[in-house]
Amino acid sequence: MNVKTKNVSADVKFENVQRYLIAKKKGELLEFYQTIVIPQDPTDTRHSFSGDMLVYKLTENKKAIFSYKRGELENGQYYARQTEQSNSQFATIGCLYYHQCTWTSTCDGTFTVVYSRGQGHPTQTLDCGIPQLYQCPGAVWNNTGNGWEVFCNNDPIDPLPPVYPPPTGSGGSGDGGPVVDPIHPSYDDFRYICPTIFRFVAVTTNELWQAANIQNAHCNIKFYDGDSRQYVSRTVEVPNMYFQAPYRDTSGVLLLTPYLASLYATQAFNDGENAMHDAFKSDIYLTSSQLSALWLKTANSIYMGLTKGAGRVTATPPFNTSTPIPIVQYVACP
Amino acid sequence: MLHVHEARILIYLLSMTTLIQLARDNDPFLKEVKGIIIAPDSTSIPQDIIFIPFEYDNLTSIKSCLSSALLDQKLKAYEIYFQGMLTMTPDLQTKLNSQQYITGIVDTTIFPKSNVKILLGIVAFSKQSLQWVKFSEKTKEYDFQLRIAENSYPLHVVYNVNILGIPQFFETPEK
Repeated sequence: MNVKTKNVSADVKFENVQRYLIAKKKGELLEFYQTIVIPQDPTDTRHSFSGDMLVYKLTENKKAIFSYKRGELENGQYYARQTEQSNSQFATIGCLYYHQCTWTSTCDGTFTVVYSRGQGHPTQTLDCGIPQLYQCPGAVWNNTGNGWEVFCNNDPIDPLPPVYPPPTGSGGSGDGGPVVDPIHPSYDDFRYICPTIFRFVAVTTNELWQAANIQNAHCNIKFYDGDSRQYVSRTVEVPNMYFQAPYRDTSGVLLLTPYLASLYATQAFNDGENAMHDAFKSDIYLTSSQLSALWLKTANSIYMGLTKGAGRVTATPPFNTSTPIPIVQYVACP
Repeated sequence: MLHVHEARILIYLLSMTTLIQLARDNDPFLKEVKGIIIAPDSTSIPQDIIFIPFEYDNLTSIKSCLSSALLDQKLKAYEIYFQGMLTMTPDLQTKLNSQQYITGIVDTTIFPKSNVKILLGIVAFSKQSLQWVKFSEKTKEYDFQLRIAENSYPLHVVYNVNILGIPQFFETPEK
C-alpha cells in the first residue's frame, strides 16, 4: 500500500478499517458492541489513538461516531436513536477498550493519502475503491475535514452474532476424556534480548561515557483474561533505547567494562519487559503506547539500580557524542 | 571447524553460563527453588506456567513426588512468567521437553480446558530488580482442579511477582 505525504513517502500496511468486538460489563451482564476504528494517520503509531470510531450496539441497533485526538474523546455524534448515557460511557471508556480483535479489512489496490502534517486538512483518493465494510455494504465515506466518517445507508449486517462467554468455573468436562487444547501464548508471541546484541562504544573524547543503541524493540504480550475468558494482547514497540553508563574516570581508570554494561543492559531490558507484562496482566486496558513508555521507564530504573545510579536508559541519544553510536536493530536471542 | 552460526551459538551459550554465574555470585536476592511445574502439554515454550514449590529428593520420580505433594493441604501454587527465563536458559525448551512427566487436565484462567504436563524443576527467582521497579501489588488468586487419571486435586494459585521474585533461570533436577 502506498501512502504519500508532502513529507514522507512510504509503503505501509493499510490499517484504516479495523473492527473489534467490545464486551462491556454492565452489572452482571455483558453488552456487546461492534466498532470500526479509523485512524487519522495509519502510519503514526507513536501516539495514542487519533481518528474516528464507529460504534454499533449489537443488541439495540444503535450507532454512533466518536472522534478522538490522542486518546481523548473530542465529540460524539449519533446517527440513530440516541441512547441515554452512551456518550459519557464512551468518554470514560477510551477508544482502545476492546477485548478481542476479531477481524481486519484490507485494501488490495493503491490507497493514496495526500496531506501535510499540521497544515490544513487531509484530502484523500481511494484508487481501489472504498474499503469494504462487510457489515455495511452501502457505506459512504465522507471527509469532514476533521477526519473520515462513514455512514450506513442500510441496516448493518451483523457478521457474527454476539456470543456470550460461557459461565465461569473450573473442573473441565468431568468425563475424564481429552479436552481441546487451545492455542496458548508461546514463544512466537515473545521476544527477548541477549548480551551479545549490545554494542557499547565510548562516546566522549576521554572515554568517560559509553552508550549502546537498540532500535525497534518490540514484543507481543498476550494472556488469557479469566474474567472475560478471552485472550487479550498488545504489540508493544519502543523505537529507540539508548543504554548509557560511565566508562572511565578522569584519570582513565576503568569503571565499567562494555561487557558488564551489556549484561546489566540485558537484565534491565528483560526485567523491564517483565514488569510491562505484569502491568498488562493487572490492567488489560493499558494501551500499547502506555506499555511502551512503561518498558522504557522500568528499564531505566533497573539500569540505574544495577549501575549504582550512574547509568540510564533514554529514548534519545546523549548530546554531543564524539563517536556515533551504532544503530543496532533489535533481534531476539538465537 | 565451527560455522559462523554455530560459533555464535557457542559464544551465546558461554555468555549465558557467565550470566548465570554472575547472578549466582553477585545477586544476593537470587533463590533457587525446587518444585513442580504444570505447563501446557505442548513442545513449545509456554508464556506462563504454574509452579508449586516443593522440596524433593533429586532421585524421586515425578509420580511419587506428586503423590506426596498433592496430599499436602498447605501446598501453594504460583503462576509465573516462564518465557522470561529464556535469556539465561537458552535451552529452556529442551530442558522442559526432555524430562519425564505425567499428564493431567485443567480448566483454569491461564490454561483454559487444557491438557497439561506435570514435571519437576528448579526455578531461580530474584528480587533484585524489585528494589527499583514496582510490580503490581495486587494479588491475583484463583482455584482450579487438577485432574490426573480418575482423581481430581484442588489447587489454589497466586499471581504476585513480589512474593517469589522475577523468574531468572530454569534447571532440571540432577539425577
